[in-house]
Amino acid sequence: MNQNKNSTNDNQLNEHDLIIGCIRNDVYCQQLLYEKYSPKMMGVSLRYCNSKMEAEDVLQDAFIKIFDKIKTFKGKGSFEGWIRKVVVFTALKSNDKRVKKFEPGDIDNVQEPSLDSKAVSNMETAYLMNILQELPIGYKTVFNLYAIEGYSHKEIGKMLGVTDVTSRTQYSRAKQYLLKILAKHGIKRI
Amino acid sequence: MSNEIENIFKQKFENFESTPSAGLFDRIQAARAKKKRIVIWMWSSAAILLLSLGLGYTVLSTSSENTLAEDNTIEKEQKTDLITSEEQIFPVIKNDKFQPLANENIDPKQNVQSSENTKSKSIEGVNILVSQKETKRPSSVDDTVLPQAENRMVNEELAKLYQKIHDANKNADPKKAKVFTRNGESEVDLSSINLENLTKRDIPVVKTPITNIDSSNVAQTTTPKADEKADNNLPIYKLVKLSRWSIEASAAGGLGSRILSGPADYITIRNTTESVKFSTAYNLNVLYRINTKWSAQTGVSLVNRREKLSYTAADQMTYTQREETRTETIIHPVLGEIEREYTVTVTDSSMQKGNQTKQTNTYLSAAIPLVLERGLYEGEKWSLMTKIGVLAGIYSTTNGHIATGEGQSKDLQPIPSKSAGFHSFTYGIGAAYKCTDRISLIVYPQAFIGLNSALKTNADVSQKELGFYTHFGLRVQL
Repeated sequence: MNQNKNSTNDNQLNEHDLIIGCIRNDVYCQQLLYEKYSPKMMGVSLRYCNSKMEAEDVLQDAFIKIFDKIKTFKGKGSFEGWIRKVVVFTALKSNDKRVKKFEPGDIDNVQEPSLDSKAVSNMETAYLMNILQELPIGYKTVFNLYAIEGYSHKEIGKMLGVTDVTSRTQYSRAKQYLLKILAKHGIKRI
Repeated sequence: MSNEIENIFKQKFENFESTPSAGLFDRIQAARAKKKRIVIWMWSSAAILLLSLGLGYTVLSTSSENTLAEDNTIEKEQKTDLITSEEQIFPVIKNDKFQPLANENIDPKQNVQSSENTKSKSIEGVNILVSQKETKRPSSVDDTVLPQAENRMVNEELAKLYQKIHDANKNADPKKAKVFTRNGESEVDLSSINLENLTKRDIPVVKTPITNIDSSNVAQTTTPKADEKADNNLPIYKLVKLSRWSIEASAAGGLGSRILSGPADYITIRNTTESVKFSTAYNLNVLYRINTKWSAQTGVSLVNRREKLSYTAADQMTYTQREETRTETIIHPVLGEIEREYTVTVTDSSMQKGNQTKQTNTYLSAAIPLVLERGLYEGEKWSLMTKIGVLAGIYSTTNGHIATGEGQSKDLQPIPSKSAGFHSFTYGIGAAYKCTDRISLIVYPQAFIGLNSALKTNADVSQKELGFYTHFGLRVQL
């Protein structure tokens, strides 16, 4: 009975308490924080990596950073946003060398295929994840940062140490590449 | 149209979740703990290094002020206009007013040689002639003043000799001393230096030390032509030039043990199954003498700790099942009394005595010591010293088994060994017997205590090594 009461209390620990607990290096709070955010962050990490194992390594490094640096979280913006940023940056760092080596523009002249968007939105997210993971690492990173994370090309350029023009070109190539892959997976062109 | 794909992906992935493997949190915690340990170790190494440097510096700076000053020896630089540097200066002090040094005042261990033709002492390049008449002591100067030096003098014998000369000539007037170059051909002009302002620490130091001065050579070269009366029977000191560096090799025997921490019942099992055994250790060190009392050492230390493992596994019950056909007589309502066959499963049990294991476990480890040694007493032949330091483990290997306390088949497991990084602290008090000027025999009982566990981090217990070994070896001064 007592235990139940405790666990109810634990579940009621708000984010602020969790953060304070983690700053105090309380393992229990760290575990709660991990349990709360790890599935979502695994989803983020997976998008930047080629395999689950790689994604878990990134997630591990990211959570080590999160626990070590949590005291630097100033409360500006959402905590989840901060955690997500750490995960994204850790993923970028782990892909660092590969990301900057952008793929050659062999699809420059390819006409942008049109898309059966209904078919795509009917696809399972897990299946789409596989498709996303098929993208070369540079394209994948820029696509993730721009289309899903919502960073501007200027910000992406800064993060990757390239110009915003490069980011923009890479993005448009990435999109074309993605459409090609979708076509390969049988998404009909209209 | 093309923006649609972004929207679809954003929508699909924005809140996409995937469960990471179970155990990832434990991995995170383990990685953090490891990182923390590395940080702690780096900080402690830096602290130890700083401490050693600080201590070394303190020792050096205090020794230059005190150690030799206590001996009334000379070490501070003096005015350089006394003798020009081109001359390869080996000054000779000659003064009619100076007391001679009595032969019995001179340490016979310092390879004294007498010569009828000279009364000069040759001390690492410094030749001092002293004659017999005595004189009044000047009020402002209380020391024998010897000329110019560039190197600091840390040679103890030399210091003692200066002390003796000083004592013997306390009342002499240094103003009247004459200083010659070694070959006796040139006299040094003492009037150019201000003797009044010299202090006890303004003692000349040998500019270019000489090793093993040949007595015939000394006799020829040290007799100053300027004063033939000085040719009485004064001894010649022949000193061996010793470097600050020494090499030490030793082998040790002793007993090693360990301190366990972890679950109490497990420790009890370990303690009852393991017992100490004669172990060995080896040292190969380079020593650098910082001053007459302190020296720093490093090199390689090997410890081969052995322990006896005597383990009897718990008795084991084994159960085997077999089918057995039995018959019974039943009374059938129609057929009357009949026999019926039936099968039962029978379980047989048997007690198996636990196996007894007797073996020797070994923990071999190599470490780099960072040790400071201090001389406690120094006699003619015997000296006593003590040392303190840390050993940074660079390699370790184990051979043997330890009890797991889990019983049954899992009762013994190989020692979960760490390849390196098991560090210890050491302290010892030893004695040295001087066989020759360069070679000493040493006996050095030393204690070691582990600073961290010798076992892998995921072992159930933490095991800090302990040891007490008496080293026997040779120390050769270069």
